[in-house]
Amino acid sequence: MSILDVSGVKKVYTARFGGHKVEALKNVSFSVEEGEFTAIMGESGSGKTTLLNILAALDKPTQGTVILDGKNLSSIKEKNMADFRRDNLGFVFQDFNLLDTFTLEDNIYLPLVLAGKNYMQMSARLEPIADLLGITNLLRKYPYEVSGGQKQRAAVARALITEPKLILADEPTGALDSKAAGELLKLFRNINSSGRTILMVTHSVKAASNADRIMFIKDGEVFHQLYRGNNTNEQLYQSITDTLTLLQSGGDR
Amino acid sequence: MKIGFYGKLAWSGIKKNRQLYIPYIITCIVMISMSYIVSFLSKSETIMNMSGGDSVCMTLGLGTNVILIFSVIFLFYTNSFLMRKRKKEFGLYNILGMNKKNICQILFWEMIIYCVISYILGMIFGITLSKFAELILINVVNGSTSLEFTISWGVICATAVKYAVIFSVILLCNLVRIRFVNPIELLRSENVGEKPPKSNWFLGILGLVVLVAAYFIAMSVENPIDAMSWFFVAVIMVITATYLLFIAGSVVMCRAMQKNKKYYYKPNHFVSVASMVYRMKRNGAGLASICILSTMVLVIMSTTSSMYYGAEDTINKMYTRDIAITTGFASYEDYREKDIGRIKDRVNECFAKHNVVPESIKEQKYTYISGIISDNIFYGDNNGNLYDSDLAFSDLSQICVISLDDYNTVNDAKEALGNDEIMMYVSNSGKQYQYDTFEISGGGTYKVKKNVEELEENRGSINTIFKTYYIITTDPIGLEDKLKTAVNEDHAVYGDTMSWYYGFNIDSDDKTKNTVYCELKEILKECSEAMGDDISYNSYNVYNKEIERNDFYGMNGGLLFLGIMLSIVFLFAAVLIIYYKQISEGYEDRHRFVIMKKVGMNNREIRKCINSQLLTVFFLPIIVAALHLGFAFPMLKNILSMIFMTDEIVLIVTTIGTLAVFAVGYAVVYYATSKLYYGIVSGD
Repeated sequence: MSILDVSGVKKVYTARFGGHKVEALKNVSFSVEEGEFTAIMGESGSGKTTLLNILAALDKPTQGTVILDGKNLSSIKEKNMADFRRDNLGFVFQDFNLLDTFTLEDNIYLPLVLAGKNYMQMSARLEPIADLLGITNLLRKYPYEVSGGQKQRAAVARALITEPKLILADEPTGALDSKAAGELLKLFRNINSSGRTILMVTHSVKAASNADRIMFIKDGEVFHQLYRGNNTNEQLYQSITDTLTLLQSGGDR
Repeated sequence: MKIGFYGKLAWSGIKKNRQLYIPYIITCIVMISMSYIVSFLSKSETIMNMSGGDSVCMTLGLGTNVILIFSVIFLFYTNSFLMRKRKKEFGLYNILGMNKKNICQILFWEMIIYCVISYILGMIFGITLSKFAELILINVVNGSTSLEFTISWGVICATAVKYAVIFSVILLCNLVRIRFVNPIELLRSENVGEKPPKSNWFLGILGLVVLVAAYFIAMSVENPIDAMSWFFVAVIMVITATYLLFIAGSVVMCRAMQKNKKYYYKPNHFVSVASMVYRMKRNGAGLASICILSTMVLVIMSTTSSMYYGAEDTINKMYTRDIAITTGFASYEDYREKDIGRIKDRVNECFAKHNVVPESIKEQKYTYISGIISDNIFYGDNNGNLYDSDLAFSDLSQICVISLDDYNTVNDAKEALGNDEIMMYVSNSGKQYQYDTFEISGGGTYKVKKNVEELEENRGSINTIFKTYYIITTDPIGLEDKLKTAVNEDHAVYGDTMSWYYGFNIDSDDKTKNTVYCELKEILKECSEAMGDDISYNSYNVYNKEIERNDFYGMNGGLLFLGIMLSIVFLFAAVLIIYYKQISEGYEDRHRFVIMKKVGMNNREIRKCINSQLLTVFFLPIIVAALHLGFAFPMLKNILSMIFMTDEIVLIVTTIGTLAVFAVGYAVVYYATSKLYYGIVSGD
């Protein structure tokens, strides 16, 4: 059963003065199955960020529909939007976006507190997640006291704790060194194998090679898709590199 | 050529940072123009020549210094804020190849530019408003106005020099600061990840203890002497406590809130409490300063306005008759009817000459003697214990001896007393004398025959400070003698001379009163000179209530005026602190609110959160200021009673009035700055 259905999404930005229009997304259609780990790859300016913003309901498409768990995003009223986002989507960002005024624990609780959960419920939920991510001993620390990888794991915990239908990750390894990035990707796989649906936007071939499926976006369209099938990470890595070479040398399908 | 380049850079630096510099320059303008106005008025001929003008000018002269001192402190404070904001820019210049000397040149030109702007505009405003201020001042002190417009070049130069010195010192400090930092530090200084503060229980509790102690002192003050001696102690304690509480106490409180999980993990509290902790460390000092400034404005305005509006009442208490003559004798024994008779004859001649009829004449002899009265026994200071350190001035009482004859004449009574009998009236206590007897240590005991219900006091004035026992006796000479024996005369404190008082009202215009007054002065002078060496009294004095009133209004009006001027300066300072705080926090919070939005907070929640934080930050200082004022009230009341202002209602009304006006002004500032803050946070 597909949890996310994107069909015919088009996004046109109009310059404020004059009628100059920029087409960020031409016609994007795809769907994501429940429990799937999908990566989206593309060059800068290919429309990745626009797509992610639309999926996150931070932006509205000019045309087309996005259906998340049977609910059309454009039918949700503005005032309920923040609640919807909080309950159904988990975010992991490149620059962590942790608040330096809170301890890691409080940072993780933030969405739940906003949803009005009490402390007992929250700490009961946090325990297994912190355990899974290996940050149990760091919970009392402030963001400036821990490393980048640890910050990102806390950010992942914050995304997981609301038990969202879909986790959106925007270049999650972008600000990490290779060791921390490797560990984070392993965690993503673990999370995925425990049943979570993940959609990850990335530049990194290594990151993408951990996914079940890789979509390539070029000039506002889904250009190509790769499925893991029975391939190992290494084999997948090779196919991604080949595809990217093809993409960049401007070859047609 | 080079100068032109750095000058241009400096100018563009100011222009680019106009959000910071315009308020700063406005404050400089306000300070310079206020400084000019106040010192112009303190040297103004028009005011000097008014009746009571001397006291006005003296008061304003003091005010000039207060404004100057405040300017120094405040300009330093705001400058440090400006420098913090600009460091990054200078760091960039440094890395792009400008050396420290060049940066100093930029700083120098910037200083020249904003100095010249603020000085010229400050002077223009100062000069234009000085006439206006003069009219207000003259009106306030009940003087007569003239319409000529004057500019005092001397004052302009003096003000220029004073502020030039202040600005140069500030520049010097900035240059030194730039010299000793390296470019990387300059670049990074604004976004150093700051640690959330640890709660300092010791300082927090210390602040609370000091504050409670200061409040306790203020509340337990019972008389003006205590109030005077403790006032500055209490002020310093309150200032210290305010800083401690805002800096450390607030963090301790927020930490305690965070410990309470039920309270803390609520949508309304969660974000606010956490960010309060974070910002209190830096903003505590700013908030405390705002609080202190507000308290200062409130205290100044409530006291000066109550002094001004209570002036009439006070004058009536101090001067019970339109005109009065007093002569002082060494003692009752020295009093000679003959000399006084001669004066009275001449006075009556004067009345006849000017065709005036004196009314409510009061003629009385009295002696004031100070000592200690415990229970019903009068001690002098024979043991020297009057000057012991453990004996405060507040234990002093005074005795006023009045003869029965005088009492009967003045009060139209027919009392009779035996030799060892006295009548008693106690002022300044609201209570009657409780004992049946009155004993003079080493001088015998008197029987108190009667407690006098009401007595018109001679010097309404002094009795507000010391408790005064009025003793009516048939033998004033004997009683005076015994009292004086009890008191060691070498240590005579105040007023142990015997006085003859002759006061009256005249129902005529001020001019006639003044003529009579001048003539009486002349008469007394002539009489005294005529007597030569054979004179019974050793001093004389004539007062005219009208002249005293002018003097009084001159001083109180001058103080009120100065109070208004100082309040304007302080308010500008407070507003500027708030403004800078909001701007700098706005930029920091913007990043934070963007994250919260991503994590699932909607605009309404963000607005609510911002609102609750702004409200706390804004109204905490003014609430604490109002609290300070409330606790200072007993002290202020006592101190004011020392300058004979005893009408409590006037003080209460003016205090509440000032608070209301202040709160309204503050709310306006809140509204304006919070709009600015929303603008910054929402990224417009």
